[in-house]
Amino acid sequence: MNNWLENAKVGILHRFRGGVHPQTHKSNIDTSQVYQLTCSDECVVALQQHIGSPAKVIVAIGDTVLKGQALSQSLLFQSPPVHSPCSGVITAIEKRPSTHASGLDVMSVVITNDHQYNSVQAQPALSILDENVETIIQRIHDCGISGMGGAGFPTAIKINQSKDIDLLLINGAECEPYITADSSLMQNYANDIVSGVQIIKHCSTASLALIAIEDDKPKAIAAIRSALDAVKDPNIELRVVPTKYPSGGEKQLIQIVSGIEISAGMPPIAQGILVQNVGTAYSVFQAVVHGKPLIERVVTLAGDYVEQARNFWVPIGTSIESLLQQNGCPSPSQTLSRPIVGGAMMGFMLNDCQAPVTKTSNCILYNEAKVIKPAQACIRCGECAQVCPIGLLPQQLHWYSQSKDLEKAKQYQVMDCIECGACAFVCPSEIPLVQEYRETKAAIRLQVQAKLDAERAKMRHENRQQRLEQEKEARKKQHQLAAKRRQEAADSSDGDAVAAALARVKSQQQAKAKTLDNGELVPDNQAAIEARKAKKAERLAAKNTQQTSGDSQADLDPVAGAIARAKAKKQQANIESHVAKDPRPSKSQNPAVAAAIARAKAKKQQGNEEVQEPETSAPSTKQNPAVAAAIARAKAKKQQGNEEVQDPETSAPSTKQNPAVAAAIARAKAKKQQASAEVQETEASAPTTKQNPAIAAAIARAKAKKQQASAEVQETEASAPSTKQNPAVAAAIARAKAKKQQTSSDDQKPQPSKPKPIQNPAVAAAIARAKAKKQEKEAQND
Amino acid sequence: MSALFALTALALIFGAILGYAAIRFRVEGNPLADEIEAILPQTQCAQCGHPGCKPYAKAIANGEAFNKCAPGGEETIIEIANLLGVEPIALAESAHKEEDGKMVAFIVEDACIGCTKCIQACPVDAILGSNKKMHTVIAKECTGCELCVAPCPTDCIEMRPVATTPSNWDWKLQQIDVRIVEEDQP
Repeated sequence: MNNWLENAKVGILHRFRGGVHPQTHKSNIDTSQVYQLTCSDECVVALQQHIGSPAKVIVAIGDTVLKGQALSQSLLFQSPPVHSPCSGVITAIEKRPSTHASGLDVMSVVITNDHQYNSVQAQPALSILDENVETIIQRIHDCGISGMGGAGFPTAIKINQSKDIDLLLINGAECEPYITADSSLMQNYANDIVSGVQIIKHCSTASLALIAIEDDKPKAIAAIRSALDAVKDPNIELRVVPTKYPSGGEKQLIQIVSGIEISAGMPPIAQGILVQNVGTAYSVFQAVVHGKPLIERVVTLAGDYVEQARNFWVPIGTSIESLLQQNGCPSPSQTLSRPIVGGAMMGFMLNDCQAPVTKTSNCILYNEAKVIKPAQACIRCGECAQVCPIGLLPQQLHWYSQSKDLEKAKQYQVMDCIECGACAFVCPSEIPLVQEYRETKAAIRLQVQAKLDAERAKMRHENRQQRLEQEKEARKKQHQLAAKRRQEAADSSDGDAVAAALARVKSQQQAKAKTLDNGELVPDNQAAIEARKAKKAERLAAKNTQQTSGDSQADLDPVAGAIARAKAKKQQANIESHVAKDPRPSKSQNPAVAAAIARAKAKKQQGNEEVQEPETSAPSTKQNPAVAAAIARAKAKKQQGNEEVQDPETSAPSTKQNPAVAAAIARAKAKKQQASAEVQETEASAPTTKQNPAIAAAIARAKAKKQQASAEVQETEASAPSTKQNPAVAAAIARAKAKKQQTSSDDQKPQPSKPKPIQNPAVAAAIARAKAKKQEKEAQND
Repeated sequence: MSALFALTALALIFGAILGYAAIRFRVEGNPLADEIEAILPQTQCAQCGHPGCKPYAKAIANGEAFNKCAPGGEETIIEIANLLGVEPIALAESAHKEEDGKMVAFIVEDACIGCTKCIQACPVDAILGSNKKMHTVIAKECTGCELCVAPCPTDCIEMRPVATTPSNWDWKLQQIDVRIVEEDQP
């Protein structure tokens, strides 16, 4: 064990240099009891009431919250959550005046109090000496506990130290004038505080815990002593320290009880000393044993305007104005004064009384306004240097602060100033020294931050430059490589696989192609045409046998078939109900008509996005002509969006003389005409084109198009001659038209699905063609 | 005669030592430029006419006027003058700041079309976003150089002052409303 710790255990006290003895004003403040204060109608809970970063808000405007419900949440111990002090509705999450010297607005959750005070269910009690320290520390964090002495350091971080703690120091010194919050707490809740100390000691593995109280609080000392006697823990002891301001300062108190002077910029933890306020110890007890979050604290209300100075349990979030009102104090708007938050020596005058009580506000001091005499010149009396508890040279710092010589101020360790105000207290010239130091410190902090920012910006800029350089280099390399490859390809005549493949394809094309009179190369598809012809004959024969049972369809000519189909279509549209009732004839008449009906149905279904096709889905969609036709039409529509004519031309020869195409064209045309009730025209044009169904179809379509009052006329006409040889184009156009119609008129009722399963070779051909076309198009796109 | 020999020999020996030291202990880069660069605010704003703080620092080390740094202002001039051991000079006309306080860029998200031009302009990679996606400025990393403002085709980038919070407040209590009371004459 360390020497200093042994001495501390024995009870040897030390002194810190400097310090002052201001009038304490504590004698007439009632500490016998802590009175309960009610929550104001509107509670403003600032999200950050501690050192660190604010936790994430987990409530939204309009939410109903219960008393003790967490308003924010964080996994990090540096961001303890805040809790609702009352039940009510969250009316705003916005910036509200802060309880800070600056009075700047800070993010706060505003709760409209419903005065029901319905609490959330308290968390289960943990055993004081719970084996699992992590559970206790997590509970302390979840209950939003941060240091209640003034600085507001998150307690969970402080306790959760990897470093070994030798001494736990409980700060009950409370050296500032007027403040009796801790004093009244110790007087009234001594047992709870001692239990809290036990919990913290258990968590921090400190071998010794000392509760330090200034000797001007005999009642508190007596209460704590009796509580300690009840506990009978030899490692928790009471130390009564002499009254001197600022013995309640963390480093000063450490010096008093251990004699160790904590070096500048070092946390006491580094020396193995953990300091906690008595209020924090009490809150830890409440959190661990009663599962209560930190939603209220003891606040001393004192001053000239306060009739009876007392201590109150004030819900955190209550506005200070409400606190004053509830005690009958005059409103700050009536007096020339404004309340001071935090005590006479280190407190600050409140900018806006709407600011709420926070976890760190221990005292509201409402004194009469005192006219401050203008500061006089420093006479270099040296009083300030005598009382400075840190041992700084306040008068030097005063010069450097006035001349804004930040470098010199830094040299004289202005950053170590604890802003206790002892120097200003003794200054005969009434120079607001602490205020000067605060400004200087803020300026230095900004300067340091600017330096850090500049360093960071420089680093980022350099990284960026480097990255750009690398990218440039990489691009250059890539270009070089590509150039090299090209060079190599050019050099080696036979080595290039791509070139070889290209040549191969070219030669193949040439072998297949034949030269026209004008020297143009066109693919020679004679073999395919022959095959198709044979197929067509075969199909016609099949049709013949099927139609022998039909009444009017004796004619085998496909043109006549197309006319008939068109007629059937018209019939179908006009007498929908009839067709729907009796679909049989259409089936018996012509499979193509049936297929068209099926397509119409499919179209309708597709439009409605009906996935269910119970009857038609039996044969897979691969063989389902209706669905396939619909797909083909959709594709045609897509094509139409692009170059209407050129694209289909490429695939034209393959569909030459295909009766199925002609049929499709005729069907589509008939549909169109049907819309304008002009079937006769088609019928009339049909006979003239008896020889070639494709040509007939083209002519018929052209005519139909003409009738159609649209801008497309010329284009279609132009494409008509070409379709003489290119029925595929015609088919595409027809499909596109059909598609157009589909979007405009959907009055064709779906037919019973019986005709569908019929396998129409023409339809199958159309599907196959459409598929081929699509593939081709995709290949082109690629 | 012997004295002449001795002196010559000494001169040769020291010359050799100096020559060796010049090679062996050669300082990379320009130490003066590095020191000047440490003073410059590193906003990389290019208002001095150089593409960044480092080139400007090099130019100063080579004798260019050191009064062109707009973000640094008077303080930077004084610091550089102290470093160089010369008298501070007045801030150049082009370097006068219009207003005090650090400004950072802010992208009005409604107007952003996601052109990435500001991203390319930012010298410290403080703008996030990708093609046709809304961009945003990482305020913490922004140096306030305003280089992103001009390239924006929709003028959706504006410079906003950094918000004052209790943590970066300058503690100037006099700026808070203080009541001046006339003292009653006895």
